[in-house]
Amino acid sequence: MVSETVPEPKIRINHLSVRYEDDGTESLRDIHFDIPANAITALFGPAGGGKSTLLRTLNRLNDMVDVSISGSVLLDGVNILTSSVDVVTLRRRVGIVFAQPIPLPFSIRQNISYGLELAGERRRARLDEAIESSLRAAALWDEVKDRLGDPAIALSGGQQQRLCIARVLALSPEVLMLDEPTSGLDPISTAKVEASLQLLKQDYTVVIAPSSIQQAARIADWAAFMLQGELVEWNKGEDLFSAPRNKKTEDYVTGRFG
Amino acid sequence: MHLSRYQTERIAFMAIGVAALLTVAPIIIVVGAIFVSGADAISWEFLVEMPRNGMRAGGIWPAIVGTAYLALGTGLISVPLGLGAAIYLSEYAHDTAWTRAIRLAIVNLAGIPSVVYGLFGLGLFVLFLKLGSSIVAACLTLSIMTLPVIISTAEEALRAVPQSFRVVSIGMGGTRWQTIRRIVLPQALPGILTGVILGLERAAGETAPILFTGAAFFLPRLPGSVFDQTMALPYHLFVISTQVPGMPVQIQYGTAAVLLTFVLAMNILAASVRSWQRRKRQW
Amino acid sequence: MTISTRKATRRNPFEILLETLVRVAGYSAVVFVALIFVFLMRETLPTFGEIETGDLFSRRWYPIEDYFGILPLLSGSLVITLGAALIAIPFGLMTAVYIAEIAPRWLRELLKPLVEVLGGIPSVVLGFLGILVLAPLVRRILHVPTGLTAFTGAVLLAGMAIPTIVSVAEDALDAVPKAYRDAALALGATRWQTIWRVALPAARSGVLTAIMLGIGRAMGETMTVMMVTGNAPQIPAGLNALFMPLRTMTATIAAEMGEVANGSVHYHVLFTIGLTLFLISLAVNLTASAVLFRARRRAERLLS
Repeated sequence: MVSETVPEPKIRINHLSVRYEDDGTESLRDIHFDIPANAITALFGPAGGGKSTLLRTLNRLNDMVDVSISGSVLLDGVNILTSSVDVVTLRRRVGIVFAQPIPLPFSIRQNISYGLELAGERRRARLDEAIESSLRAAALWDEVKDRLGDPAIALSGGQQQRLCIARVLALSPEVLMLDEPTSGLDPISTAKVEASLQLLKQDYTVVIAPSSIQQAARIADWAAFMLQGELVEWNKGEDLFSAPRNKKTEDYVTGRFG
Repeated sequence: MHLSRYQTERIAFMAIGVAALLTVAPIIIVVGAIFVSGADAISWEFLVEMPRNGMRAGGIWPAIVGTAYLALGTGLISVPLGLGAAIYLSEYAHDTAWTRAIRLAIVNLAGIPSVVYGLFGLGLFVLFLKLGSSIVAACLTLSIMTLPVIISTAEEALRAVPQSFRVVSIGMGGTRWQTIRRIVLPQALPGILTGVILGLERAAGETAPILFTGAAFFLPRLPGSVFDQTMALPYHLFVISTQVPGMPVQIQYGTAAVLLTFVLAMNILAASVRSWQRRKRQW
Repeated sequence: MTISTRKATRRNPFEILLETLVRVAGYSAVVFVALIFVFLMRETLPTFGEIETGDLFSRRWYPIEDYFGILPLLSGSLVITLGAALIAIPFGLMTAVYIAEIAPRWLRELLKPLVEVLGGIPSVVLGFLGILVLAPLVRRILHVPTGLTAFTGAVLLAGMAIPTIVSVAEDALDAVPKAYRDAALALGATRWQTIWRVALPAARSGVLTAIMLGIGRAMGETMTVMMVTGNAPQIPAGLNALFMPLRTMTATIAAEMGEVANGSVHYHVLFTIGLTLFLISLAVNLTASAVLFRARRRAERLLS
């Protein structure tokens, strides 16, 4: 199952199990692997595998619903699942982008500055600076720099998704999580997003649940195959896709099921 | 005699159309009749002067002012309380037995006859709390009566805001209150406003709850404090149309027309808020 | 070690304060219902010490001579509510069907606000019109001694119940998924058949709720009936009674409360009537929510 460990990983997941209380389904069973810093880790597998649950556990977005959790998740060596953790700071350090682009009902500018304003940042100069740098990092600056005051909902789907990425980047997170971020996007927008991710990994730790296995093969440095709540195999991307060690992984990668 | 499906449809549609017409036509006739007959009496003096000759002449200014006071007072009490309850139900409460009890209570408050509210107001506010027949007692009574309307419409408006906004805000480190204050409340505001307008409209038009709690007919002056009684338009109309001999029909129609104008104005206001929201909505 | 992270979340005191405030606001609804019940009870209980329960259910309501039989009032409320229902239900439902299913869009945008306006008209205004216009009309056309009759009251009450029935039923019909209608039409049904056999049955619980709410409103009306039904507490007997005056429970309270001495028997009996009204509305509302709740559960099971 777990073939190696990474020295000094950004995130270490230790025997994590998650169960949703309102319908009793066990979403994750004994998940155990590392997420290295400054790399793209892809969580892939068929629907229902627990990928979204895992992502939401990493920034404790799961707190919004009734879950019971056992195990631990270490971010820079500190367990984030205890009651002494400040979830607000955690969510700024570990940002998430969802499958559907969700522009907030504000202007483009206000969307990006929203996170900073939540944190109490009021200085106009600092906000403008963050707006520009995060829009550049998300490869959206040139397209919107002249209409920052327009409602965000006027953007196209691909632009909205890049807006959501910029929105998260404005908070200077350490980890960037993306849950099927290019599902609704056309190939050109998808290529733009994938290109920005390759650049972003230099400064951030990226965890992505890719929209297709081809996307995983294209961009993943490390990959974890998740099937029905269990971690089947985890390895360096190129090794896992070219020479999977587990039969189930091989079957999925070659398309025998899915 | 066997009718084809299409014949049945034609008959049914005709019958329904006639029924709808018979239902709707009287509304137009009623409203029109009051305005037409009351137009004669309405003048600037009628609206801003004090009444004379035992209410048989002069203006209805104190009744208008009184109704405004009652509406204002009711709003000041029921809106914060109702909005708070709506926020609790929409944003904080889980589905427990207690929450269901709250919802049941709201449904019940909405169904209680207005005269029973008047009785309750008399028992609790006027007598037990010794507030006397006063604006304060009347407003408290009206507030409890208006509460269910405000809670229901406000909760619906809050729930209509997409859940995805909340998830995004929390995901970026926002607290629940920050999310409510910055996103949910502003987006729900038009819907909440509509509910408040309609709730206050009803409160201002009710007679039975204020009969024993604060309304009076022959008041020589405008009320000086919240512990005074007050005149009010609906109560005024009631008395002048049933209990004052020799009351000119003019004045009765005029008073009715003023009350109706107020109601219509509120309806138009609420409708404008609704259509403004439909246009400006960003989701 | 299994934890629930929801409960493990720390929060700052400001957030806790706000949550407490809104929670208190939420529970206030329950407090108010309890308060109303308590205060009505408080002034009702003395009644049972002051007069025989049998007397309470006698057939004469004449407080001046110590006759406190509430049967004429109960039957007055019943008769007039029934009369209003007989008018309001068919007209209200048919109007709702017309607006929701048959009317073209432009007409619909006109009719909905119009019905809302009717719903907003204060009861005094309708009562006022009843006295000045409807009652004389009834007197002349039907050759009765006075136009202030049960019939007049029923008509006006129907006018108050119809907007409620129309708006709730129309919402219910609107909520029926388009897929149902499309399926029926695709099978060759006419529009009427679709309405009668698909849309209405699907909206059944909402329509029932509309009717119950409308009737509830009619029963709880005070001012209109007080101004227009003649205020004669007599038990309606025979069909003629529809065209004679009567008295409802609500009108009795409104008319006589102003004249009673605080703490007298009359005073307590009026509170008893008030409590009766409260309990009836409680029962109607509980039934209505039970119906709605069960229907929603059924729908959830079907659609899941």
